[in-house]
Amino acid sequence: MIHAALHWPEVEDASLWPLAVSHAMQLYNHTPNSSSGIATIEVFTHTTSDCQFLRNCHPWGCPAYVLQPRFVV
Amino acid sequence: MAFARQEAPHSWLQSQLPSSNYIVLQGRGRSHSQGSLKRAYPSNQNLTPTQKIWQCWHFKLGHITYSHIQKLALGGFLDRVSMGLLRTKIAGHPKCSACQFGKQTRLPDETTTTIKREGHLGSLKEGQLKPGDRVFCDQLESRVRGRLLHTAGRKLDKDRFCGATIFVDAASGYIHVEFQVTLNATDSINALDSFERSSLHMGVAVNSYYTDNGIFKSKRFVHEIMKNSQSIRYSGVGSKWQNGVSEEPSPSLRLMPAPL
Repeated sequence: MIHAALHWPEVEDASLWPLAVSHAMQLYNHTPNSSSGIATIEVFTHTTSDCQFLRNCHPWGCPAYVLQPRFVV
Repeated sequence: MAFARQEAPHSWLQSQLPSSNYIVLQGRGRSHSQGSLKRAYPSNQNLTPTQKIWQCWHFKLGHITYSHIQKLALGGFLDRVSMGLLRTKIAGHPKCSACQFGKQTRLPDETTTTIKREGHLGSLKEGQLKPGDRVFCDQLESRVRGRLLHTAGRKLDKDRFCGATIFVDAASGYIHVEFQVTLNATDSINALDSFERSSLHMGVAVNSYYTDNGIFKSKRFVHEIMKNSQSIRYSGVGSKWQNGVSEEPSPSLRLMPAPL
């Protein structure tokens, strides 16, 4: 939340802590271990992941825009 | 691009951060903070393209260490562009002001001495080789009421999140957090049910729990555990280190929400 407060101070809100904790939890579970290369959720579920979650994630608190349907080709 | 030293507009951070540690970069650039003020260390003014990619992944992955990002790039977990990180030296990583501030911890009071006995390290997780064999539980409480995940933020304060229950699997280290409006037995049982449903969805059945005292020792909670043919074990009174796995699930999860 410090990163968001430094970069986008006008929208910083401390009451968003559940979203920050939830985001941190998901990142922790999906990030592969530096030594074994296996993510925690892979060990828990006995499955393998292609780390698409990591490639698609964004910095927490960054501005997001909704694409209006009339602009979708 | 014009560089100008300015005061931090955020009042709380303004009082906390020493002004010599950051500068404000104003200008047009294709950074992820385009159109807004960007704070960085003076050494971050002229980053190489590789260092920018490195920093970008650092922000994206919840401020994990730069060496960890290098290893992920080496393993091919990140995109092809990040493969350039393999040629960089770890000493040349850019500084992150959020991390510098977020990793600050309270100084020891120098009145208590903690000695880790090598023979007992990891004894709580010993023998737990299958996911679901033992799950550690603990609760956290926040003074700031948190926004609900499904509303537009117009709820009354009493209907907002005041804490959460953390579940940590001993075998895998998997962490699950259930947010609660109150920390009473009813909400804790609901959190337990929600965790078990999500675990069963992933093919894991929970056999036993290891918790500290408090709401986990209430009659209704114990009855719920017994009804599901599970077992529960408590840490000693005042012995919070016996539930250390969920007290401090991981330094990364403990520190991650701060610099995010």
